Amino acid sequence: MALLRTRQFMGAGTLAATAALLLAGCGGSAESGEATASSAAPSASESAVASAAPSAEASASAEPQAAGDLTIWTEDYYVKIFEPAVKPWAEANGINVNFVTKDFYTMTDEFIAAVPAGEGPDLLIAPTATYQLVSNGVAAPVELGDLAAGFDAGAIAAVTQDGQIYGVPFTVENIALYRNTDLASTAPATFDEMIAAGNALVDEGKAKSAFCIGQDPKSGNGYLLMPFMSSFGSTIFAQDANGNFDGNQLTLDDAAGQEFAKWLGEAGASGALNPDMTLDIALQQFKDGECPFLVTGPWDLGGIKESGVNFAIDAIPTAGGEPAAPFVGNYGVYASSQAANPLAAQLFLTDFMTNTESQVAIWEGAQNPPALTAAFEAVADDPYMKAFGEIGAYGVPTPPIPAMSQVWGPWGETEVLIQRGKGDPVKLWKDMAEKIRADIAKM
Amino acid sequence: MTLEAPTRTGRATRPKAVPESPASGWALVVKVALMALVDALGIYLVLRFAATDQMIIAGVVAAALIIINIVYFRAGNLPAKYVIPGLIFLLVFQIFVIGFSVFVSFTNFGYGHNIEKPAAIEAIQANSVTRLPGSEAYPVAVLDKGGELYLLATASDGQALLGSATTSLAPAPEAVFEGGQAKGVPGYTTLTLGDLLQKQEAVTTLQVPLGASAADGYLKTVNGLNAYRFTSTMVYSPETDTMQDLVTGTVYVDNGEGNFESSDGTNLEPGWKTFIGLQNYATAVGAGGQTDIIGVTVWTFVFALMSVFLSFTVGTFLALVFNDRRVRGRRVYRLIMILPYAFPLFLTGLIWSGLLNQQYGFINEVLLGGVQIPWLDDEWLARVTVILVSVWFGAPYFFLVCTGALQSIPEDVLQAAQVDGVSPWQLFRHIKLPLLLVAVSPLLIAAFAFSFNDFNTIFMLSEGGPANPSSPIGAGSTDILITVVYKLAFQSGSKDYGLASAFSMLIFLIVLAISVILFRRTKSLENVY
Repeated sequence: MALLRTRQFMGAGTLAATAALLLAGCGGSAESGEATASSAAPSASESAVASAAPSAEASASAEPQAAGDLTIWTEDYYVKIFEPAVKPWAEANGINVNFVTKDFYTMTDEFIAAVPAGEGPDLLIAPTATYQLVSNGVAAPVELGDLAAGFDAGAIAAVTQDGQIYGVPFTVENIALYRNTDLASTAPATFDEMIAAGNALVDEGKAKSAFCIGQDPKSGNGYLLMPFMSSFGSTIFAQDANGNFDGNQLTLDDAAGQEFAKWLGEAGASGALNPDMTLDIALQQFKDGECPFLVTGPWDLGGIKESGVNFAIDAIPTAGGEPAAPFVGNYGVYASSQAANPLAAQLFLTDFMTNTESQVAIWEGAQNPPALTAAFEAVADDPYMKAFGEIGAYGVPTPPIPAMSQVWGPWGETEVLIQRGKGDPVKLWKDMAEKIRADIAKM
Repeated sequence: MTLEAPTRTGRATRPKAVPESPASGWALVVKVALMALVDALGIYLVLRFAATDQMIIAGVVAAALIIINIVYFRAGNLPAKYVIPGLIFLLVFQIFVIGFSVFVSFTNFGYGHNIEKPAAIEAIQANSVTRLPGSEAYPVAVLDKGGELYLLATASDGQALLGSATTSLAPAPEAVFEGGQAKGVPGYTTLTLGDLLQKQEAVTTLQVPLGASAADGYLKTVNGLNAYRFTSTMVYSPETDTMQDLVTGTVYVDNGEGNFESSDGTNLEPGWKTFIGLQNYATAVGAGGQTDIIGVTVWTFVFALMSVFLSFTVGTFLALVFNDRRVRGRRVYRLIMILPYAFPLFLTGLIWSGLLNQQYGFINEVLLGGVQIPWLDDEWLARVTVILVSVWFGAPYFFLVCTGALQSIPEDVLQAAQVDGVSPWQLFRHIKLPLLLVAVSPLLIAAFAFSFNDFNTIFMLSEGGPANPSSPIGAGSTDILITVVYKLAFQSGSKDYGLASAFSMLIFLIVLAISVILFRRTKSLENVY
């Protein structure tokens, strides 16, 4: 009996060991298979990619043409664009680049959570979030040397923290006015002109809405309404002579801001602005030719081109008299501070990302104005790029300071309340500013 | 139970003498195969955890594996054989999760304190590495001699410079040039990019001193192509556990709250995870001191009670109706009735949010012919709306449960009542409902606990709105406790896991207290009927 049990135990042990080896073996071969394929890993196989990092180095020595690996996290949109753009560079340097598709809204948070656990990628491609990444210790500095001067100054500022550069920007994004040229033949100079033209089209039955701008019915959209606010001369934070934002000096509710609040109340009451029109509804109406004017960014350019609507890109018309300056934002590539492949990651940043051809190749897919000046000049003949670039030239930087994180929520919510007429606009606006100040003080 | 068979056979006679019956032989094979799978998975996990330096978890898994093997391969211990799987799942999915939440609630884990202290020290020093102002960029080659790495740099005047981690940078006149750049030195092996990719860690951490003094800086390459002269301004001293800025001379001391802090109160970033005692609970209770939280708590109770009560009422009513044999096509109706329950809750919320859009929503625009009812934009109507949607989702559940419970009521009881001449209402009120409640009341308590924390319905449907931007805790009209916690801990651009855990513990205690009280009441219910 004792013998039987021992044998059972031994048998189980051997079987277990074999199965464990099998499992490990499967894992190993799956990793190398993925590596040689040099293609995007679907998001489902995240764990496989994450665990591939340590053993990949060992297996790589066997194949000279696949000397190194590089794992990159980004959203679906940029996976499709970067994959073909990176391929020639990756092959020339013998680096297998694995893309992992991540959700746009959560990828930066996921990166911050995954890097300390040793499960992060080597690189993250995301909207610039330098302060967040640096204050959580997950981004590695990158020395661009003299190459930094070749980039748009605002884009470099967006990846800089305390004088140190942490990423390489590749787009300069700002919103503009898309005008349906079949419905409206001339670009409106003012907001009132635009609404009048739009209303005339609605009355004639040619359009459903006079003007389309996407908001969330509850949380608004401070980002898209910013140009109208800045056309009143209103800003969010005070800036010093060098252009640095001061998080302790909120200027939202100064006289100019109150003027904007009053205007917002009137625009909401007249129906010129409507917080119930979501981003989807706004874009769809424009694509269907049911709306003559749409405010959005270059990210919708591809979709609108496909819709077959004839359109032009114009400056956003002013509401308060001054130029309607939109926020200018950037996309960037960051290296993880715990990258499994630090040299390959830095090579990607300093060699591939600083290259004019690379940024042009990315532009071809993304249609966002490149952050590398030489690349922007190379594509500036494109009429849309030219228009976006001209509008961005007088745009205002999104304040890259932590205090800005306290602004977005109450800002958009209050704009909705004002448009809905839920109280005196100026009082609502002042209450909001007080709340933001209190929140910033608590940080 | 069949697993015991071989051993029993063995006990009765000598194993060799009696061939095992086919059934027990199969049982043995199945048992060994299953255990092999479990062991394989366990060993794989142990190896993986060990490979990633998570020794504690590896140890726990190994211990669990040993216990499992002992229990299943030893004779006897029959109760353990039944209890062990459940016990392990309980530990992994319940006890560990709750324990971890409690643990996190005493730390400052969150944005700004996202990493361990050694990693933070490393990051602060790495982030302080700056290029010497105005220094030139050197094209470099990485060389190898006897396992030591060397940097071969070409200065702008065409001179070749060579150095390693131990020998400072010095001219190398014997260097071999290629296209104006020094590529090799006789006696040294020039490493290709492929070689560099094999030893990335060693190459990127290589610092070639420029002179005897640390202030002279060092030459360093991060990409194997270019090198720059760098200096580090932040230096950590392990003896005193302080960080010093070499340029300004400022000393930063560990402030006990996960940051290096200077005497004037400036914190260095990043900080690290550390224990901060009851601070999160103090903040949570501090938020409790805000008058807004009282309103939110009252509304949370109203929402939970109303949605459970109405769901139960509607569900029971539908169950009674569709339990009547005279209703035709009951099965089809029942199937349709259950559909809402089959949708994921977050999707339900999102879809309803779109349907109820004031101007473009299907309900206002099509069903009600273009009226503009502010379903989710008026604070009182929004409260009614979230309860209604919650009922829409919850009623099918009670319909399902009550249908079963009603069918299990013995016919003879009902017939006896009818013989006694009760009215249909009396039949329901005094016979069916009490019998129903005996079966359903534990579920009512569970439903209450669920609704109390029904994050999905509130967040996906109304986002807690209409918003009240001036509320100090950011609570809108329909925010319940759990969504306020989410907004406080996660939505202000940063994530504060410690605070969120502390809040969760408090909510957990509230729900626990209510559940205990209600379960006591249920017992008395059972005794009465």
